[in-house]
Amino acid sequence: MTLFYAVLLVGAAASVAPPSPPAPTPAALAASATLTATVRSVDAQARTMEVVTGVGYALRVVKLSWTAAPTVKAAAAGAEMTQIKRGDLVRVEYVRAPGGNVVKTIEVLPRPAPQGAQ
Amino acid sequence: MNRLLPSLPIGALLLGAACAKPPEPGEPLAGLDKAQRDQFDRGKVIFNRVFEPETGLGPLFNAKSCGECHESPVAGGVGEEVEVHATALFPDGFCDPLADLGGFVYQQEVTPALKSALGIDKEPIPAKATAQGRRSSPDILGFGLLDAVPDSEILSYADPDDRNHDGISGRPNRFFDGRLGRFGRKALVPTLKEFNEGAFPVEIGVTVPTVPDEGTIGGQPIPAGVDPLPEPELDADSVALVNAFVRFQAPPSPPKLKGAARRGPELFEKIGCAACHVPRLKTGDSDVKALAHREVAAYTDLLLHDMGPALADICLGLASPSEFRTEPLMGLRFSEKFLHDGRAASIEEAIRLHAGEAAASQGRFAALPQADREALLAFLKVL
Ligand code: HEC
Ligand code: HEC
Repeated sequence: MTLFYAVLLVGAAASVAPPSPPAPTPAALAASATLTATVRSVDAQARTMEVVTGVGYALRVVKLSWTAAPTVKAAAAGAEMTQIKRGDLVRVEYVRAPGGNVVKTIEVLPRPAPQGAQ
Repeated sequence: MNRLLPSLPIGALLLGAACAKPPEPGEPLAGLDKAQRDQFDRGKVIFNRVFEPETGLGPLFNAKSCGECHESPVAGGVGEEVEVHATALFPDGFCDPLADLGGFVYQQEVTPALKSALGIDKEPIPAKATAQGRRSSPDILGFGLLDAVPDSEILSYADPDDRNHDGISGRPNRFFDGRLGRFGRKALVPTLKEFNEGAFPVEIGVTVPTVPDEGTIGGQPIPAGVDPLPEPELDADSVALVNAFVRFQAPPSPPKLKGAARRGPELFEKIGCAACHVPRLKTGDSDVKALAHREVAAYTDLLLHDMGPALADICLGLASPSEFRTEPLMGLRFSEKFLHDGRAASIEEAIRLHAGEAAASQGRFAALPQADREALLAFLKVL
């Protein structure tokens, strides 16, 4: 019950918060979307997380939640949401449901090495 | 730093092109086609368009047009406006740009409608912020060329662990999606297009198709009726024209070095300024012929360097409070105030305030015989 309400509440918050990227129009609801962003906070108990994204200096926070445990892809096998921490670079596949953005899969990306492309 | 020497073929190419008179400040790049010149001209009009609340201004804003801040001596030049940024640095090193609390740019002006609804004169900086930074308005002439420099070229100058032991360890910043950053004093933004498109909502309060919402007022929703225009307030075609205008601006014409200034480039190299202010960068492939495979006299490596505690302000992305992008010295002739917040009243003062990784180079500058120092300053003044 508690969890159920938590997700609902987060869903409500997410629908007021500035949505980004593209605002979920009714047609886009329930459509799957992908986003690469930096984790700002994770609350594994409440099953919610916030990531930072944006265009230039126009930054936005996108709120995400999950009900069933999402698939976590990470270097370590059997990774769980509890291992994701703020500052991590993640690629999230999520569904824009009426109650908010629901995570399907999440992948922790390696931080590019400082000398990356050499 | 493992700097690359300017390669001969490109130098030769440029010599060939240099027969034609280089464009004056404010003119478009040489070699644009007619359609591109037309976009440049039309984009300039929108760059200078003054927005009012009825046409999309606000509810929060810093100025009413791009051209109000990037104005001297021509549209795309420097400006007197100084804006305010704020972020929060956590003990674990995470830098929060406070995007849910209106950050990280805190607008200094509000529309009359917002003022009467909330009684505020500017966007409030949240208590959660751990630092504020002031940013003077830089020139952006020739920045289309900086945009066309391949990531690999920038990364080739990086030496995060200072493996060559020169005390200089440039490292790249990264945007929130992991891409290499290069624009803004902390090198956060990967592309010129994104910087421009974000600047409409952030600086003028004008929403665009890629940023179709106004954001919040310090984290609070915008009161009903305060911003009645439907989003986006500026259409995609107009935004594309502004992108073309900024991208097609010619860089400042090559400096005419006279007298002692002719010794400037050599001294600049000798005392280690060029280790960060890399004199020439090379662009890569581009869909615009005038931007492809050119040399640009940028005087930057577009990387972050630790400049010491006195200059430090906010963290941003991976940049620590004391790290700043090597400021391009291209266009230095247009500036009257120097460093990220305009605190230095002269070029000489700006150099004397270099510390951290630049301390050794600053020391060598201070130790130069007066005649050499003057020669170097005479050279810098005309960049
Ligand atoms: C209120 C003044 C102001 C307005 C209006 C403004 N800018 Fe700027 N601009 C700035 C400041 C200040 C910076 C430096 C920001 C930083 O270093 O973090 C900047 C930086 C830039 C840069 C990056 C320069 C660099 O050094 O990397 C670009 C590109 C740019 N502005 C384009 C625009 C465009 C396009 C518009 C209109 C949509 C615009 N600006 C409106 C003040 C302004
Ligand atoms: C370790 C790298 C580094 C070295 C070495 C270095 N600089 Fe800089 N320089 C920077 C950075 C980073 C900034 C931007 C600092 C800021 O805005 O607070 C800067 C800013 C400047 C500015 C101000 C530009 C503006 O538009 O505000 C001038 C002028 C300048 N440098 C000249 C020099 C000279 C001359 C030397 C050699 C004596 C030198 N620098 C050595 C990194 C360096």
